[in-house]
Amino acid sequence: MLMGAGGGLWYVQHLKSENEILTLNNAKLNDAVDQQQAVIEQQLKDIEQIQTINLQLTETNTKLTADLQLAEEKFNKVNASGERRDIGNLALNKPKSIERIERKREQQRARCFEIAQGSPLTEEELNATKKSQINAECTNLANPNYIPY
Amino acid sequence: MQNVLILPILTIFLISGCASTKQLEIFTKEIERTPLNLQLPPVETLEQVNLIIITSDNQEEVFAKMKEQNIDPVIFGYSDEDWELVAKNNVRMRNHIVKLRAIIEAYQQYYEPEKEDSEESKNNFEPKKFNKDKD
Repeated sequence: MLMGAGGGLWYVQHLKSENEILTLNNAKLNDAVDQQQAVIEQQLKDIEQIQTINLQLTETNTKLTADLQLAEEKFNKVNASGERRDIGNLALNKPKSIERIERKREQQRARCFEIAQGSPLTEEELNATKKSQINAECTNLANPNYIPY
Repeated sequence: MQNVLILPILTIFLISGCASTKQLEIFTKEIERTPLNLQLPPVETLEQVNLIIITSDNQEEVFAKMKEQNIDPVIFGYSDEDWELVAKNNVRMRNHIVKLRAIIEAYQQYYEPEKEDSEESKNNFEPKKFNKDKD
């Protein structure tokens, strides 16, 4: 009789401890679900950020390609009479003025290198809207508010 | 005699019923890697270079002027075609710097979002003012 009662008591105790463990396990599983949810949310944020960064890089590359295209065009510009600009010929005829122009361009090139390295744009550069105000060497970098006309 | 046997058995049952095996707790704590914290280099200012255009017609005048200014009358030159290539190479190099910088900044923005990227070096920089062209 006593043995039976003792066995029953032991069984009940055992069930209680099992129940406690199961409760704890359940709480842990809930935590795990929350954590997984947080991980998924973070991953979604990361994907969004990666897409934004890729878009920014693509935009930068487009601007840079345009600047290179501009450099190509500068030397091969075709005038109204259909002749291709020949800087050699221009320099032969007007060495002084071409020298002046190229010296100015050299200064602009130097400034473009500074901007490329992360130098902030000056007020003048930001406000440049006229052809005479822009940095002709890297307009896309130096004068974001300039619209070609 | 029977009681002598039953009592210890019952005591053992009771004790084992009360005793509980402690659960093993394993703590995992994420320790963040120490950030590298490298600053982007400060802006490098290029030296002003004086360009000289020399033709078969003005060569004497140019060399005379150089001598007058105590400059060795030597020119390291490019043809007009090569000058065009130098200008394009400049654009390519500059574009490459911009691309690399953009990638570095994107990595910083992605992996160290709370850190402002090299604002210090950006804000301390004053663009260099070149002298007027010398003729």
